[in-house]
Amino acid sequence: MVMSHAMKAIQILETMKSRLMPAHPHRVRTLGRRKDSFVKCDMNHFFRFAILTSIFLVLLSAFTIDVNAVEGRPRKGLDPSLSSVESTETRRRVEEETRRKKDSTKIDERRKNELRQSEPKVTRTDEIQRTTDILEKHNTEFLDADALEAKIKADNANAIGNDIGITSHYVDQKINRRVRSSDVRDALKSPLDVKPVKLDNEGRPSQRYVGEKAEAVLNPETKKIVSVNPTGYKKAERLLRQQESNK
Amino acid sequence: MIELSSKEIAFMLTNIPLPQHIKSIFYNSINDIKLIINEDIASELRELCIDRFDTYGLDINYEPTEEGKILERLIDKLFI
Repeated sequence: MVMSHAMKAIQILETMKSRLMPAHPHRVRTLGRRKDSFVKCDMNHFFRFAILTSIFLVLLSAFTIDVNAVEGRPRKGLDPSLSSVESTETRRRVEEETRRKKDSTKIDERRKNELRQSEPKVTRTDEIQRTTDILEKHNTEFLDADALEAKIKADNANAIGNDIGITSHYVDQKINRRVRSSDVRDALKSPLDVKPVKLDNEGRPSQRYVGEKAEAVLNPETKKIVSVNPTGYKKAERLLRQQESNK
Repeated sequence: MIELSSKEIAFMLTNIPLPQHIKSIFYNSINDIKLIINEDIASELRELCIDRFDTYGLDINYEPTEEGKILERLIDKLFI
């Protein structure tokens, strides 16, 4: 390919030379002026130089060694066993995939931003309003702390099961961190990750169940939920990805 | 982006076994009043705080200890 192009270039140069200087091969042409003396260029010399350069380029292209081919390494991003058509297709496919990935990450970020913007900022008044709503929902009567705890325990028993108990710290954290009972149930029944049992400072065992939306710490001996907190967005995303890859 | 105060940084440096790359970030900003960390670091720090809380956060009655209270605040702050 390169050779044929170079040969054509040589032919064109030869034709140009013969057309430009058929009768006067040593015609002198003035190219520019520098103060007193003329800078002159002999056209014949110019064409000779051009032909020699193109011959040199032809030889260079003919004897250039593909280092990758010699060492048996594949070219970057391409399979050497593929034909040129196949490699073009592969390249196109790879480009499409990268574009798609970029688009999906952009969409994810947009969604994340939208979710963040849509999340209402919790203020003290909102919190009071929410507590009032909860109280109103539960028989429209004021409940003291014990009654509220009992109510939450009952809700918890409905959602998770009677065999699992709760601690007062769990109740506090559940309210403060606005974790739903259904999310705790999901964490315990279908966790994305279960951490190994570890002993705390008092020698009691505890095991962390990580769900999609909530994480619960359970004492496996007493079957009590000790603490709860919402699962971080990044952590949930990572665990879901791991789960999908395992499938 | 989450902002950490010098007190919070000092607490984490003294109480939580941090990996080297987080330690270096903290030590580099030891003279700053506040440090802004990105989401990845925040998520990693949150995990470390959670681990610490599971072991040292609750007393015999399953009430948060003084360290546990600070850890809970950090866990909530670093939530992303």
